[in-house]
Amino acid sequence: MAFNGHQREDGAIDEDETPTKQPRSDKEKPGYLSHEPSNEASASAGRATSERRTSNSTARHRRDSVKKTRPPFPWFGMDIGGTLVKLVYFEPKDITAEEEQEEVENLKSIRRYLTSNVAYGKTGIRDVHLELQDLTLCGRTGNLHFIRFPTHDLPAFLLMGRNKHFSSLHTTLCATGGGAYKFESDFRMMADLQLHKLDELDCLIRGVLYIDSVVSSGPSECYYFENPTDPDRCVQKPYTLENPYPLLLVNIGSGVSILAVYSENNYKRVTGTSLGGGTFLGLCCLLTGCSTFEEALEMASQGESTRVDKLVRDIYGGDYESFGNMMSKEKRESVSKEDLARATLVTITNNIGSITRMCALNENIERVVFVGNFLRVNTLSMKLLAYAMDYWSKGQLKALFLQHEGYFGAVGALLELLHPS
Amino acid sequence: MRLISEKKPAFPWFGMDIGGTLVKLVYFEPVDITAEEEQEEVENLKSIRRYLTSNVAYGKTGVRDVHLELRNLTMCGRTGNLHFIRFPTQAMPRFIQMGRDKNFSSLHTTLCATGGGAYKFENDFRTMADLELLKLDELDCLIRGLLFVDRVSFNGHPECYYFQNPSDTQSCVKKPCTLDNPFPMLLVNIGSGVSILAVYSENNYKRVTGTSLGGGTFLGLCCLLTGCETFEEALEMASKGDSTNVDKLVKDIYGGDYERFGLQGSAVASSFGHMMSKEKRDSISKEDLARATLVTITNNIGSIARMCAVNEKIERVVFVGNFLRINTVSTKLLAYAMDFWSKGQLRALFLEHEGYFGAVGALMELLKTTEDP
Repeated sequence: MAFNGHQREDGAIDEDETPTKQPRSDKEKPGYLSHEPSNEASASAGRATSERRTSNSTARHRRDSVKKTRPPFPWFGMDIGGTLVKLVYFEPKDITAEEEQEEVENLKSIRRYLTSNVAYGKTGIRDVHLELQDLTLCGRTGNLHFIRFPTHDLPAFLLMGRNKHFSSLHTTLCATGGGAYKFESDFRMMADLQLHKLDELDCLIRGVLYIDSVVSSGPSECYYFENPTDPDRCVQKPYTLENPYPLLLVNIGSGVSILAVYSENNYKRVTGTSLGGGTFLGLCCLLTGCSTFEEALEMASQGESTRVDKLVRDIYGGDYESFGNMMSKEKRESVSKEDLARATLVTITNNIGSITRMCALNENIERVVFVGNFLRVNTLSMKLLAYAMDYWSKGQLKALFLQHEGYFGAVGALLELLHPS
Repeated sequence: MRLISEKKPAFPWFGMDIGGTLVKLVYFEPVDITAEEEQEEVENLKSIRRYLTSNVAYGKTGVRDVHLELRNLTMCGRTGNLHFIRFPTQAMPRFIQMGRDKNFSSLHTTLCATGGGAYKFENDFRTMADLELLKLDELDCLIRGLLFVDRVSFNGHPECYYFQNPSDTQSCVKKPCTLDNPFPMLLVNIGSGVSILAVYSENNYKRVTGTSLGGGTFLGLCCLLTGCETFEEALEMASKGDSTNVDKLVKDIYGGDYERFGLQGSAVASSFGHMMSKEKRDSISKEDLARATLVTITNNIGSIARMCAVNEKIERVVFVGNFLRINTVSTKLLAYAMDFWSKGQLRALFLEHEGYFGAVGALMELLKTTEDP
């Protein structure tokens, strides 16, 4: 947790993406990259034909292909976390007849499989409501899809990759998250795939900034809660992250990382806590017998944590204390599973809120953005965080949320594939 | 004939700290009573003194921590022994009842009490035992009591200690120290809940923050997860368990260290993170769960304390409170955490009288004087 004023090397902004607000110079037109030939044809030719090469030069070819030309399809970004694998897939919609003719069969099959299903196997899910349509990336237009499955099922995913001969496509698989390191050899051995490993926090920031800049229709990517504690008046309101710096970014996955972001290329990991989404789910499974995140949240929504916690008025004097009533046998027998689930959610959430607030204070930052899949379908925690930031800072701090919650790492990995730093 | 100063309060001299889980009571037993004084003493005062000093246990749950007794102390011109007694807050009604049975109210002493219970039970004291509490702020009392005990020392031995080489299990050793020039200090009071104070002088401090995940959380969660009933049982289980079967470590996610940000593979990435898997749940023991609960709560406190120390630019962090009573696992973990994460910049300090400082501070308020050296 030492200070890490990390600077990224590239100052390049991703210019040839879906235009945001300003008029562009020639340099910023789609297709322009620092080192690539400005030639549409050569890029597609590079994609369609894949010569057999020795493994050394294949590796070199892949590196070269990433640096100098538009990379061949398919375009994926992967974030292999402690609990979930997040995958983003770019589906091109501007495929010409010619291109289609030259396409290899397994590439077509992969595209078809991913885009015509919303569920994969028993646990894979495509979050259709998060799909970004008509996006321009690296000169191509298409839809960006958001897919997730438990890290536990990665072997099945690798097997599928092997069965579909993914490795013959000679694409680079950009992956981030701890699993990119942990499973690197599994990818190689089981599916003959070489991962291009990326740092998860670099990718996170890159992904956040990108998505916020391109979401131009539909609900705003960034939002906050007005009147978070008043159920009658609590409402989601859009927020633009223009001039976002400095920003405190709180990533709540299995565990929690808190970053202070000063500019696109200048951030530091302030601290973290091991009491995160994994703790909530783990404790809930133990205390209530539930087995999934959705079940745990469902129970929590019905419970009342006050029977479990000692309220300030209960002790007065001391602090509000979590699970404190549970020392008493009679009290233990009188609480329900729902109450326990609720207390666990509230405890974990408030702890994160408390630590976040301290960081914001120390770093002198007023805007706090919460991301990560702990907040997926978890309005209760979002509102608690919104309330906590507002209340304890007397209105100084603002809690912000993003629609694509836990996918930013994967997006950042995809961006690295297309615009290597 | 000795002049009894009008300023000296009447015996008995008590200080009480009514916390969320435990009531801490300090009692000053005078040993310099003259024959004359003894003759004039009322019967119930004698009886109270005898009851308290000739027992080490009271009822089913009251305990006198004899090893903490401060002997031959001079307070407010009198010499005596200071006794440290505790019982669960749940047993408060019985305590008040006893006060009534022994006609405590006829002694017309002021009962100085701090902690939340001083407010919560105020009415009960009045209606059940005809006793008026003098309510005091718990943090004021905490600081006052702490500085006092450190000053008078522990029967000639230092009250304060730290661990040398906390990161090395082989050579980690407890070492005494004094709180000379104690300011500024970060004071972390781990009771049912946690309060963190930045103390600049005896009368100048601020409550920096707190956390609801304290000793009460540890015990409550442990009871739920393991079926244990007492703090001692919970600690016993924790001492035998292995939390790495329960927690997801950095190496479980990365396959090794997360070098970029200096996180070792052995660091916990997600507490209880393995417990979402049924196979893992079926393979761990109650002892593992107790250990994981202890480690999680302790590390969270350590992490928050460290952040506060950095923000407030204070290098000394003093941990007190009954969560640390007979809890060497947590004490060493905290020492390690402060040292490791700060790369040796921060030092964790501990005090032998752990959770009693509030009660001592309340007693001092009663006496409203500084002791003779």
